[in-house]
Amino acid sequence: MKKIILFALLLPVMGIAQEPLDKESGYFQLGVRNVISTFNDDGATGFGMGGQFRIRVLNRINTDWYADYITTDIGGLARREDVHLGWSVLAYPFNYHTTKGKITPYILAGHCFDYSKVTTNDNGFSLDKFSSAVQFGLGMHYNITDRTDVSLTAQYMMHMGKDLHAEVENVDGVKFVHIEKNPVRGIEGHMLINVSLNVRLFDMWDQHHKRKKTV
Amino acid sequence: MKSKIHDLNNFKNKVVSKTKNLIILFVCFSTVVFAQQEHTQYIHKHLMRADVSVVGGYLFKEGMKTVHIDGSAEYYLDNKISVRGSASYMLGSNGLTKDSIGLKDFHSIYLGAAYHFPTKGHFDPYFILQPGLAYTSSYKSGPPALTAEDEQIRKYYPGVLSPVATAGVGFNYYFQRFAHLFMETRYVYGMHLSQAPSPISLQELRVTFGLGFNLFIMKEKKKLPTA
Repeated sequence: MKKIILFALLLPVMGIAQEPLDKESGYFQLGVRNVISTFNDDGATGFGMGGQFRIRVLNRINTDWYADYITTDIGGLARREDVHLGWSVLAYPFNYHTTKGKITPYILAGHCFDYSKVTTNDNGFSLDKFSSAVQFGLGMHYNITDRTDVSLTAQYMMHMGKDLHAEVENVDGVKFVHIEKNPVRGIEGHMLINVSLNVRLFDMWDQHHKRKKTV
Repeated sequence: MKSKIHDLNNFKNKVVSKTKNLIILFVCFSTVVFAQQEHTQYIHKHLMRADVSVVGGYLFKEGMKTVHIDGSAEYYLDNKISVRGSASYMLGSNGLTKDSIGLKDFHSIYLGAAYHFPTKGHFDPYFILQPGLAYTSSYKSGPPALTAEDEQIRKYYPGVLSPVATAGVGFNYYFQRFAHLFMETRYVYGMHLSQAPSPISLQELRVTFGLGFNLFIMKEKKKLPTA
């Protein structure tokens, strides 16, 4: 009985072993993106732009290295600027072939370093902070051609650092903005949705793939 | 005398008839050549194009008109996808927001890709998406000058970087080996946030057309038929 159970558990491993090795790995992609930041503590929605490059290390594992610049309007009285520099690991649990017309869903998780600054519009008073964050989410690639894809990602980013936020208060019909930075470190989160265009430029492991073909 | 006039008329008729036949032959030949062109898509990998043009814009949320000078360079990865980089410099704007805020600078760079719809011939319609970054600055306009000698007082605010995105449709028509006509309309999205009392929406509709230049930088490798 134990042998039957062990054999049943090993069956999926045999299935994965049948996949062609390294066929999709080694690709270098470069892309640009636009970002929407929602569910912020301020309650405002930010808009940004950025870029990324991807290095696919295995058939089912890709890495994404990105930079974003996001601005947010806080009630017309203050503005927030966020800079993200980070990386994510993308895992493809279903299909992993990136060919024309294919939709390739993925799960992602990663880490980033951030800089945030909130400035009042009237007198230019500002507070800023550096922090670190972790992110996780879901996404998908849609391949317009074999080498070009449009990717849509939704991820939740949790910042670990001193909380920095702005509050808009209404006193006798007049709006005021109050910026504060909490001296105690905590967790501050928001949702990021990004749409990116990516182009596969070259195969980093071209020689490795050529050698495998000649064998 | 009458015979000479008759001969002259015959000669004229012959010339007119021959001219008509030549014109008909020329037109038919032209359509044959044109028909040959229409079966083959002109654009393919390794095509590079560039253009500089004047762009008219309208910030419809703020009711402002703008004029930009725009330059772009594009490289075709294949006959469906090209990568384009663009830069835009605002020459001037007309109008103020409801809070008397005007737009002094709106200069931007964009990088993105265009999808080219399949066609047969030299007509090349496309859809383009480009994220970008803009340098924007604004000013607050003071009360109108009371006399011709007085200048209207303006308070200028420092410039800021504003993320933008643009989507557009257009077409190129490659009528020459090194030149083409183009026309494009696009929508720009962004927000100018600065020390000004209120933000300025950068949502804009832009239209441009003109003459561009193109070159195939490499010959496309033809696939040899397999035996």
